[in-house]
Amino acid sequence: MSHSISRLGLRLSDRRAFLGEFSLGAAGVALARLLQNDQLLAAPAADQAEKPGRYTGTVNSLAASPPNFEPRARRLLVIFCTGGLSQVDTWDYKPELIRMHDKPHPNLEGFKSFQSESGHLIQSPYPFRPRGESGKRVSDLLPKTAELADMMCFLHAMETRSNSHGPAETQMSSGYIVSGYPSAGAWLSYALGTDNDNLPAFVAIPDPRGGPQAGSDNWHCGFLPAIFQGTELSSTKPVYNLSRPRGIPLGKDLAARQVLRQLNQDHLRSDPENTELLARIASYELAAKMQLSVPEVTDLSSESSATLAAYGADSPDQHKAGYARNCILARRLLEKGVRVVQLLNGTNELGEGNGNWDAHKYLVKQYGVHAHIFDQPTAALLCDLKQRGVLDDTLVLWCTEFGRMPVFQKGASGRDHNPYGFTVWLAGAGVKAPFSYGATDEFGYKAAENVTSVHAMFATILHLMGLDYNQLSFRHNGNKQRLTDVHGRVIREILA
Amino acid sequence: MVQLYCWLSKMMLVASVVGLLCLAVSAEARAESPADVFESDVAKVLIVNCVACHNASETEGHLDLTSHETLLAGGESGPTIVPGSVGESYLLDRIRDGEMPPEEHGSPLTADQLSRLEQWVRRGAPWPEGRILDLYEFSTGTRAGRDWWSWQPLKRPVVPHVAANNRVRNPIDAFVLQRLEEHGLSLSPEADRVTLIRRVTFDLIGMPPTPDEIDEFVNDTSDIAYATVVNRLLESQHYGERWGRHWLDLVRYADTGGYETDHLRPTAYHYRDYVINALNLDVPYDQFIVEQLAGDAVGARNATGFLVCAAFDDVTFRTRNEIQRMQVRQDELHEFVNTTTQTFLGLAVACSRCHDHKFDPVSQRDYYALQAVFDGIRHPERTITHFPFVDEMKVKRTLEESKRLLAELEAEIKTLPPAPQSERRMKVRSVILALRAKLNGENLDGLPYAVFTDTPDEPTYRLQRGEVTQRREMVEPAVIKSLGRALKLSHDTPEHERRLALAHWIADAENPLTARVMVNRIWQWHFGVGLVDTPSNFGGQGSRPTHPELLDWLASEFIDQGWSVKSLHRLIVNSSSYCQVSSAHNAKARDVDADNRLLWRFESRRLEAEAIRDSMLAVSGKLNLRRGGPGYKSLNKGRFRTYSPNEQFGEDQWRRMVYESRVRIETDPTFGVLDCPDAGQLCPTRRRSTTAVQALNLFNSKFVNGQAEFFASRLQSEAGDDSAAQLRRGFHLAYGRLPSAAQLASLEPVVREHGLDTICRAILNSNEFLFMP
Repeated sequence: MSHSISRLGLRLSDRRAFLGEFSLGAAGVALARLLQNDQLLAAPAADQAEKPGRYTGTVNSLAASPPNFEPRARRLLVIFCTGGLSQVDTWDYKPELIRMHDKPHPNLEGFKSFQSESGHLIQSPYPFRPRGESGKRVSDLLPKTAELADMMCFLHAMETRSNSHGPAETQMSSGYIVSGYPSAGAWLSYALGTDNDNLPAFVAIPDPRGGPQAGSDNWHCGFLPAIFQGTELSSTKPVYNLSRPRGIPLGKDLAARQVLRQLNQDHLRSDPENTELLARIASYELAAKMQLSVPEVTDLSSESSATLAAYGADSPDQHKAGYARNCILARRLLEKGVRVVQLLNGTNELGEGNGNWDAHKYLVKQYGVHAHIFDQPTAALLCDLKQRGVLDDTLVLWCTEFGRMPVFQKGASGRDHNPYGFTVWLAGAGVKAPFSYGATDEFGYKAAENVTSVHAMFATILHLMGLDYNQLSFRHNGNKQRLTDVHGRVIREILA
Repeated sequence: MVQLYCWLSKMMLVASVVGLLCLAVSAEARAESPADVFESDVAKVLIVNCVACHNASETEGHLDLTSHETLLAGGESGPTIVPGSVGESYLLDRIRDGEMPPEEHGSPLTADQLSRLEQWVRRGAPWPEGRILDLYEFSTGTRAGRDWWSWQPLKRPVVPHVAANNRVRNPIDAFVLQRLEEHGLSLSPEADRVTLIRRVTFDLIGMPPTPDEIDEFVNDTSDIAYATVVNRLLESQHYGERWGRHWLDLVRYADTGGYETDHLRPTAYHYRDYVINALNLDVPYDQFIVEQLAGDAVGARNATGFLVCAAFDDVTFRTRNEIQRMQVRQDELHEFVNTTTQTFLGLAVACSRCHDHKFDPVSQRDYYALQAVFDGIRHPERTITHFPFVDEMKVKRTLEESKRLLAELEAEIKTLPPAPQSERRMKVRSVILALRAKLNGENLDGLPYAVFTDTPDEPTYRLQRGEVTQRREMVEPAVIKSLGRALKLSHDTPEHERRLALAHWIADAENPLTARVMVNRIWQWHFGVGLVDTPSNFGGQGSRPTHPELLDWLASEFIDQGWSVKSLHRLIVNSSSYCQVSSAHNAKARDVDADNRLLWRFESRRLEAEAIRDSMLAVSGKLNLRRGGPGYKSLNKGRFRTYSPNEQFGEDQWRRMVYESRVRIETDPTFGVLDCPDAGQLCPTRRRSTTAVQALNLFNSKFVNGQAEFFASRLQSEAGDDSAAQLRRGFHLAYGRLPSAAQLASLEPVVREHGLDTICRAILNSNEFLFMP
């Protein structure tokens, strides 16, 4: 029969949790027998055979699963500056822009990128200086992060499909400009599971100032089972409903658990082989463990004052201190084996450019605020990860949803959206650094050389994580869905 | 009234006849005409193996094998065949040496196929006059053709005879048993009465039966006891509230607009209420289709919420970048086409936006022809709601001024160039629509969220690779060419008539897909898995049905019963297949069919988030039965897309969950993790996962613990102070049964020490409460 998908696959929340920690005698035995049966039954249909038990579109397990080939990186940290951080004011040095300062762009007369008409070419107010041993020129906007340029592998010729924050951000997190597709973190959780049962496989850490434009599109699971969804968690925002309810003392809480266990045990007798029932029983055991392990990882009291100071967590600026604490949290999560951590910087809740990098009109004023919040904690995080050896098997992606125009908006002192050319960078396991790949034109406007799509970026990240981007698929309504859609290629030029 | 159409086009007739011939004629004894030989030995072989790369538009090596003339003309390597001379025919050489078809495009021809081609060439390569080969005539290894199973006309199959005849309550059982018996299996025994009434009540209304309802059924000895229960449930208002939710999943319904602003659509609920009412009234499905696609033309405007309840990018559509604005319009049209075809036809035509479909007989032209059908409709955001230009152009003036302004603008728009997305044109049109609505006495703010219509700015064009800047030929509104009869539409057909024509074409008993797709959905919502487990994809990438005859029988019966969804429910839930136990142990059946796709037992499963929440409210006694209207709030919105849980629970929040105001992508803070769909993309099947985060939410949330307390108070007031009586009442309400003596003995001390609410909290979290038995 063509539909001999393992029934067990649909049901199990976590096989290892069952075998290792499931303590209900009779049920445990029944389960072990089922697992044996499952081995026999698991022969997948031909078109589902890419990775049996994983890519059949039915398994919910978060248990660690081997990649397709030896990975260079086992974890991913995404640092996402939302709002569209200007490439021409940070990483993309263009002498021609300096030379042509305050002159019209030869082809942009009357062009409206998103919000308004183009004004003159404007050089960055932040001087570019050679950094590190490589002498890569990076601007003074983020001075501490800039000094780490030797760690970075720049992709200077990125382009994206939408010039609007929401869709572009959604694309930078999921590959699609429309909502409802799984985020990259969800894909990686689905593909690789997690080594740590007691923490979520994928954590999204929102900016203390508020959420990003595309909201939960950034960590959503789309049509993948809910277990692969990113969990929102930050130094200021606990996991919802994690703790024992206020007003219920511990003894009463434990009594309710005991009663629940008993009710479920009694009920199981009527259908002892029902793995979905077993999985629900186990899910409460796992939940109890999370209740202990999540507060443990978010509690920064064990961090030394030197560490707190290095990150800027002692800053009198609440926003900076909050972001710094999130950076420390990111490191702690990675150290505990969380597969994907998405660290967000920027929110549109405070209005255009006030809480994020969307500087249409007041670039210097707004970027000054955000750089102060972002620079020191981010640089400290990168150094700390390196010093602790975490970067040896962790990949870092710094990104933003699009870049900005080399011209100012007419009558304003800021830059409009630019999806045609911008920079992201990678660091850590498996990538060449210092290295620069691709280039924009002479003004930093359009991607010109080795143009890189978001799909190629994701294909490369998957490759570094040991996954074939073509194989990593999920059958949704008959169609094989991928993070990279039907596009993408591995950018071999940047692999170490 | 819809005419009866001659569904089979000429081309389909040819294909079917050819198909029959191919089956009927064995290799040895062949006595067909030369035309038949051509069809079987040449046409089919070329179509299946060669024509995908060598046709009029796709001419690899400048070779087109679809007509006699182009075949003889050959390609860049010279003549393809020399009639009469096998040795000089290049085509045969390439096939013989294994170079064609290329490895990545298919497998080599068999020796038999090759020798027949050689015979044909030797006979002078006769080609029937005027015969043009069409890529879509036959399915290939990778793509469905017009001969695909689901595109064949619906025929009512004969009900089979089965050994376990005593289990056949209606034809469904005969078809199910036939497949089971092929594998040496049979149905499991019938479930007991308590299980039955709990199952069918959860299934049809999404809540547990009350103790009185259970007792009445258990004690009813009449033959029609069960049928009576089913009828009562189908007549309940709760039926539409339960089954409406299934439909709303499918059509990506939410109360917010998505994207970065995610505005509340305060009147979107009219569509939700339409769906619930339509199901409760058992509106025939063919009418249900027509109303959702063209309700504004048939007096059911709210139903067209179907077309526009998806997200809409109201930020990008206002950008001053014209290309991006055109892109947004394309995405909007794409959404209309994709949703319509997936929902009603189980066809994923979306791929054809950029190129001819790789897996289905749908061309890129077909896709743009469908776009043209929808080209006059718009999301309300485009016109009035949240529209900045309306204020700008001062719509809110006196009636006289409004009339004058309307006349001025109507004159002006005629002078504007047809550039469809020009800023001025966009503004002027919006204000015209707003003024017309105002002058018609419509309250712009209170208008139900449904389609806005307008004459398209200009004809539709095919877009090369789907790029808005790459216009190709003009395309007239039409339906999919390979699928049944054509429609007579043109650029001049008024907007409403285009959609009405499409709707009637879909809602036609002769359309091979419509009824099959819907009965499969209903089946899936009853049993957890459809007969086709890709319910919105009946094409080349979809699954084959596990029970093809049953599917066709159900579809035929559905149409014969006047497209009555409730009749279909009655058939299904009255079958033995539905009424069998779910906990049967059968090692043999497990080995043969671990997934239970053959239905050797009923498939027990966890209830959906809505049914869980509603059931909690039902047993706690707090359920608020108020129907319809604006939804209750479960999330507080920040300025844009940041949400926090709303923990103010009261009468409003105690309504059924179908009345929750749904925020796109962001699901309910407590129950969303139980696999609630996000209304991002269409959700034909809910996933069912089991996670620790679900456990945390059910066990620790304020909502569930609040309901546990209400549940406890209810038990106290209904059962008095005796803890055993309280427990008995609690079990009866939640599980439909009484506690065992052992359970009572172990739970009574817990009640005394930790309170009755501790037991209630555990019950609301327990598997027995959360599973459809």
